[in-house]
Amino acid sequence: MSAELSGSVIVLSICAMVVATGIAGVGALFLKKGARGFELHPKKLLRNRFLQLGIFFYALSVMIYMALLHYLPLSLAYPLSSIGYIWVVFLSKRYLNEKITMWRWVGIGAILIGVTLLSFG
Amino acid sequence: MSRATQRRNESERLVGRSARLTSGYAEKREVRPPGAQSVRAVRAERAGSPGARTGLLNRDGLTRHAANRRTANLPAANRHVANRKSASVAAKTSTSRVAMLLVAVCTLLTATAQVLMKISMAGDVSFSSLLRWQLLLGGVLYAIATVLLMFALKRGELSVLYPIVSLGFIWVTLGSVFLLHESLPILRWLGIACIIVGIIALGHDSTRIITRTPGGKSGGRVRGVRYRGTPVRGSRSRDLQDSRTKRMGVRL
Repeated sequence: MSAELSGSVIVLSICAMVVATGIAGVGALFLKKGARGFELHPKKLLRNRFLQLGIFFYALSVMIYMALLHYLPLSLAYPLSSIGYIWVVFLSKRYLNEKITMWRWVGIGAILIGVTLLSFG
Repeated sequence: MSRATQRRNESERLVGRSARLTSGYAEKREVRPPGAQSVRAVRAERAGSPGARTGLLNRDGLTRHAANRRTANLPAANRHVANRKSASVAAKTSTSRVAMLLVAVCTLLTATAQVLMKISMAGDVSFSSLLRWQLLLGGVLYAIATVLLMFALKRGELSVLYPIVSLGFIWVTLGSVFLLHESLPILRWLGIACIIVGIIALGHDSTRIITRTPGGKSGGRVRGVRYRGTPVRGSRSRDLQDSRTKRMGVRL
């Protein structure tokens, strides 16, 4: 990769990373929807469309993530991947009517800081 | 002018003045013409509630149906708490500790699986490398982790459980220290501490249902109900019915 390209490539892959974490969040949302009737029974597993959608979105996000790891350093990729927690909070507030208390924001903030420290330290 | 007329004029003047003084308030107040619907019904009709005319409204001007729809995500046993003050329910949270523990075990499994898969991919990548035992074991661990995650999500909220997945970062870091004998700088220790503090904060108020009562003695106070659905004090016969529906298997 040439030196002058790398800057824009990194910016692009950061954007792609944000999208990938969003896809992972949607996957988690579907998994939660599918968890309601989840049982370890082959018939039920085949009928659980939400579960299948959730796994599909999850796998999609993992594939994008793997591809992006070629362009991004790990110290950047790890904190970016934890943007997914923020996505999930907004999604579960909008679609699952979960109440996001102040303590949850504090917790997610601390986790974001912690992951950043872990990858830079 | 007689004394009586004089007195009447005087009192009219006073009333007029007081009316002028209070007119600012009177304009703000909602004046109901005789024979109109109650304020509650008007409010319900504005909200588009279908039971507005039949009068089957609870104290918040909502039909039972509308109230239940608002709290549909709650376990049935706890729904009555939220329905009783449906307009004032500020928070409805319930995530069992078992669910959080399950997610923690799940992250340990996925971290192990990731390491195994990485080992299996080392060296030349060919078709035969897909059949190495490390990769197969990693896949099996992933499957077990997914099943555990589903059982955890069954009894918990996504916004609490999903961030717990960040424990995986801690497992990987500790693994690299104890298995690969890498050094751990102070900043990384701080990062681990931060993640743990964050998870504790997430779990802090997540095991109970919170309703805020707007007025009265308990204004703004937070009342807690455990996830299992023991009714709060002052419960009525409706509570019994709800616990019965719970036994019939209606739950989150």
